[in-house]
Order: sequence, then structure tokens, then C-alpha cells
Amino acid sequence: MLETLMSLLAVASIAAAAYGLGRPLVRGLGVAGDDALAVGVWSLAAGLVTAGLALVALGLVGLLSKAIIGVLTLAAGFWGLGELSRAYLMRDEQRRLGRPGPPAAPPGESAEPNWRQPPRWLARGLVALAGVAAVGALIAAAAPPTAGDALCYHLELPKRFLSQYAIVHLPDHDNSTYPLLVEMWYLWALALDGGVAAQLVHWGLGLLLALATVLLATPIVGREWGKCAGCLVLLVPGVSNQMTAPLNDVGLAAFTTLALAAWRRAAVEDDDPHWFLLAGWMLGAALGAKHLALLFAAAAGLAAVWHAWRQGERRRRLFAGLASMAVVAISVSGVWYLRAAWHHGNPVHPFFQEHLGRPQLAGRERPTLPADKTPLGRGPLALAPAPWQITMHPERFGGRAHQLGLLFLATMPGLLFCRRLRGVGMLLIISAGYFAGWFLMRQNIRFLLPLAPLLCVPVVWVWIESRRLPRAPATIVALVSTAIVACGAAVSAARCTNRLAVALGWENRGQYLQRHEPTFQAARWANALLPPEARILSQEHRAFYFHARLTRENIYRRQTDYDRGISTPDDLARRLRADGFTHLLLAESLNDSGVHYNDTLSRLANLAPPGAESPFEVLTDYEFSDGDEAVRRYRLVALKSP
Amino acid sequence: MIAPLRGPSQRTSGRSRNDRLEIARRIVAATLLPRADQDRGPQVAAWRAWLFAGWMAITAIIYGLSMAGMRLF
Repeated sequence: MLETLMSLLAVASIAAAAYGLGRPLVRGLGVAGDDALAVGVWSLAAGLVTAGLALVALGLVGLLSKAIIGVLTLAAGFWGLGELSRAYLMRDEQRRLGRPGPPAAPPGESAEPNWRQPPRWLARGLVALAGVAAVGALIAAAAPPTAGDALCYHLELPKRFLSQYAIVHLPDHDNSTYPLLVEMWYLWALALDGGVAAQLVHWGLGLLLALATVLLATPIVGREWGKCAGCLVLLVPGVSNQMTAPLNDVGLAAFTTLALAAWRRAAVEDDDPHWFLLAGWMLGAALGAKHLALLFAAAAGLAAVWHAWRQGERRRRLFAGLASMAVVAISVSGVWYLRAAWHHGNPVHPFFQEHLGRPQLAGRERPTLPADKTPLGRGPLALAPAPWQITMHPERFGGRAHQLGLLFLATMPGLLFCRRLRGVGMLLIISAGYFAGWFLMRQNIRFLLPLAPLLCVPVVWVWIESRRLPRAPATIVALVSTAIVACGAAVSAARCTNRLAVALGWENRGQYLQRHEPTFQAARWANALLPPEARILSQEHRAFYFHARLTRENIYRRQTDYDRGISTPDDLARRLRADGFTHLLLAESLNDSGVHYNDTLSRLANLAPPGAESPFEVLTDYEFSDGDEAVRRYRLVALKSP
Repeated sequence: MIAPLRGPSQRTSGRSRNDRLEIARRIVAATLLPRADQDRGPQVAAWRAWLFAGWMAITAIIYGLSMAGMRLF
């Protein structure tokens, strides 16, 4: 339990420090006004981006040490606590002095349309269900990370950067030149605590996503229904699932939503033009989080240009605002794209490598748009049933865990009987543009998470309008909707059951990993036996729990063609020793379930005839059964000295 | 000399039992009683309403069966 509390404390420190960094920025821009929720969300988000950029700057000059990060966190954290105390005291003072608020509406008459207030049972029920989903995700996130992608690079890269005190280019790691802003926050958490704190950072980004949805929805459906939209986002199965693992899709969705919300304040609500700068700051964060933000920026950018073009007198001012937004966004995210261009000649490496990359690598990289990433194909006839297919068969598009659930497919057709509401159309246009881009590129449902907040607003509008339905169909709509959101909460609660013991400290984190993480046993062996300078060539990509440097065998093979001309294990050992390797981690799938490994290395290592002396010494050899019934065999092998 | 008038008593903190009962009464009333609603708009035609309700119900059933492992569509 103490370990979990320490991880929570680390995340609370990060949040306080982010607030401390962001609050002066938001105050300086003069946006958000007196709205406590808006001030909190914008300050936290702006501060996170600022802190991420500060970590990048430290990394580029080689000062990424735990001590420096700790001291800076303490300073910013205390500043944040001071800002919070100041805000609390000011509110208290205003309350005590009886500062007049807005004039109260006459009895029986509301200042806003009546539909702006959801029924209390609905608002409270949704908050309760979203609370269940969030707590379930929190418990799951408090267990040590075991998500494959997280251990391959979302946590592995920050660990490597931290150990080398710098953001370095790792030629044997494809992902090291990706946009890595979210990973910078994980690096922050790793410096203060460890993998669990990093995982909790992504859980916190899920809450930020829900609050960002409230801010996006408020000008369209009002604050109270906006809160319902925020709760709905937490009840999307893919969102609550992602909150339990240190990946980057929820972080991306949070910042695309914030960028859109800030842009709307400036361009649609005709509020302070400084909102454009904040929108650029948030869009820059999204572009710094994942390449996919480029697709969102394209869809939202086209909609913004279309909107500006239709504004007549305001057109010039809106285009100037968009230009300033773009400049800020490029300034915030540019470092990642410049870095990729510097190392690979392609700012979006490894995508479009066949067109943008250096000629010597042409033909060796994986194509950007492989057929196996588009299960529906790319024809226009396949686009129409796509919403049905991804809802009913999410396992074909990246797995059930990442699914968006039934809510959108079931509810969105209701817009056909709804009256038009200002703002909803724009969200639908952006969503349609993004969805079309997603369909043409990579059809993985977790890449659709940025659409969840945009679609929750129309869903809420359908709910509002469903009061115009006759009683019987309205009852059916209400019952089905209730069942859908209740299932969202139940799924999140059920997901955490096998992690409750470790989250509450009833089970040791090491014991938990021994049961749930296939590489943990090999990593314990390697960490106990191998010297710090050891280099492991590995068929398995999950590298986070190894202290020694792991090189992915597939990348080494792509770069060197080492397997050509190898006919005996002695040849192989000689070649690998010459390239600096000291050990091998061989991984094999023993049945058809789960992940499959390229067997080149294990095949070459097994070539020794019976009775011949092998150049390899097996240090550990074990089998591991996964939850999905996959059985894998791992061997940690030392290269004997000649 | 005029005796000072006592101002209205002001409770500085906490809520009385009566206040809590009043709050509870309002919550129950707000939950059960229909709210006056002048912005409701015209009622949706029955066939469209049933079409939407039927769509929701059918997709829910098919989705449930799909998640249970049955591949229908």
C-alpha cells in the first residue's frame, strides 16, 4: 500500500507542479475568467505542456537527472500549491464580502432554455457511473505496467533517456524519433517514482480528457449537460481501458479536445483572441504526442478554414488567428519533427519512408499503408458499413479492449429527428473528416479515441431531444442508453479485479509481475547476473524491466542482414560478439494464440548438431502462459568467450 | 436611549436538521415531478420515434450477442 501511496504522491506532485507552471500562463493570456473549472483545466494542461518542453530542453542539453527534475518539481509544486491557496482565499474573501453575483432569474423562469438542465437522476447517475469507471481504472493503473507497447517504448524510451541523462537517438529503436511529449511526462514520473506513477499519469490524462469534454460541450449544450458529456467519455470502454496503461492515445485525445475547445472560444464564440494562442499551445501538445494529431489537425483545419471563410467581416481576423495558432503549434511540436528529419531525412519517420526517407533505406522499411492494417479495405463501399463493423467486431481492428462501445452507433442516428443545434454540425464535420482519414490509413480503433469527446456532445443532444419522443419509444431509448452506460462502468470495474490485491498492497509488485509479465523472470535473472555493460539481442521487444541494453533482433537484422551466410552456431556467435552483443533473449510462441515472433535468431542458435559443443550457455529457460492462453518460451543465453 | 435591535440570526456554519430535510424534500420532488418545459418543441412523429427506438434495441441485442461470441453480421 505504501508503494501505491508513494506513486500517487508522485503524480500529485506532478499535477501541482503543472498547475504552478500553467496558472501564470493562463492568467497572462487573460482567458478562462472566473470559471474555476476552466481555470483549473487550462492551467493544468498548459503547465503540463510547459513542463514537457522544459524536460525536452533539459534532455537536449544532457541535464536529465533525477536530482534536477526533483528540485524543479518541488519548486513548481510549491508554487502550484501557493496558486491554489491564493485562489481559495480569494474565493473565500469574495464570499465573505458578499460580492454580488449575476442577477437571479425570477421564480419559475430560467435565464436559459429549460433543456439546459438535465434531470437530477440522470446527472447524478452519470456522475456515479463515471466515478465507478474512473475508480476501476485507477485501481488497474495502480498495478505495475504490463501493456506490451508500454514496455516496448512508451516507458522504455524515457528509461533509456533518463539513464543517459539526455534525449538521444537510438539507431536500434524505431520509436526513438517519434513525437514523445507524453513520454516526457512518463520520464518525469519515472524520475520521481517508477512505472506505476507513469501509468497513473495516463490515468490522470483520462480525467483531463473528461474535463476537456465538459469545456468543449459547455458552449453548445450548457455546463450541466456538458458534465454529462464528460461523464460519457469516461464510460467509453476504450478510454477507461487506456487509462490503465501508459500509452499515449488518451493524452492525444485530451489535447486535441482542448485545442478544439480553445479554438471554438476564439472563432465561434468570438471571445478573446488570446484563445487562439492557447489553442495553438494545445494543438502543439497533440502534435507532440503522436503523428495521428496531423490527421486531426487536417480535419479540424479544413473545418476552421471553411468556418472563417463564411464569416464576412470577421474573416480576416479569423485567418490571422488561425495563422498565429499554427505558428504556436509548430513551435511547440517542431522539435520532434526536426529531430526525425535530422536523423532519417523524414520528419514523420517511419511513415511515408518510401517517399520521404533516405534512398539507402528504400525498400527496407515497412510500408506506411500495408494491407494488413486496413481490414475493411479502402474502397468507398467499405466506408459505409465501417461504423457497424468496428462496433460489432472490434477484435478485427486492434482488440475489444480498445473499442468505443455501442453508444455512438446506437445513438447517432437519433440526430435525424433532432432539431439543429449550433455547434453540433461542426463537430460532426470534423469527426467525419477524421474518420475518413482513419479509414484510408490505419484502421485501428484506438486511433479513434480523439473522436470520443466530439461524438459525446451530439449523443447528449440526442438525449435532450428524446424528450420529444412519445412515451413508449422514449422509455426504450432511455432503457437502452442506461444499459449501455452501465455496461461501460461495469467493464471498467471488472477489469480491475485481478489488480486489486497489488494496488492495495496485499500482493507484492514483484509477485504480481512474476504472474502477469512474461519477460519479468528473464529480466530478474539478467538484472541479477549481467554486468551493466552487457548487451542483449532480443526477439522480444518488451524491454522495460531489463537494466541491460536490449536491441531488437528485427531491427538489427534489417540494418545488417546478419543472418545471411550464417551456417553454424559458431558463425552466429562470432558475428554477434563482433557486433558487441554478450547475450541473447530467445522467444518462441508454443501455440497459435497471441504474439508470434520471427524465428530467424532462435533457428540459427539451434543449429548445433547433437553432441557438439555449443557456443551458447543457457542461463534461464522457462515457459509462460498468458491470460489469452498464449504459451511462450523464453531463453536467456550467454555468448561464451571463444 | 433606544434599545439596540437584534439583527436576523445568521448561522455561520453547518446545517440544521430542518435544512437537511428541506434539501431531501426538494431532491425527491425534483426527481419525481415533471418540470415545466416551454422549450420542448413539437413531438416527434410516432413512426420516426419507433424507428429510432427499434434501431437502438436491435443494435443493443446484436452487440450483446457479438460480445458473447456469436457472429451475426
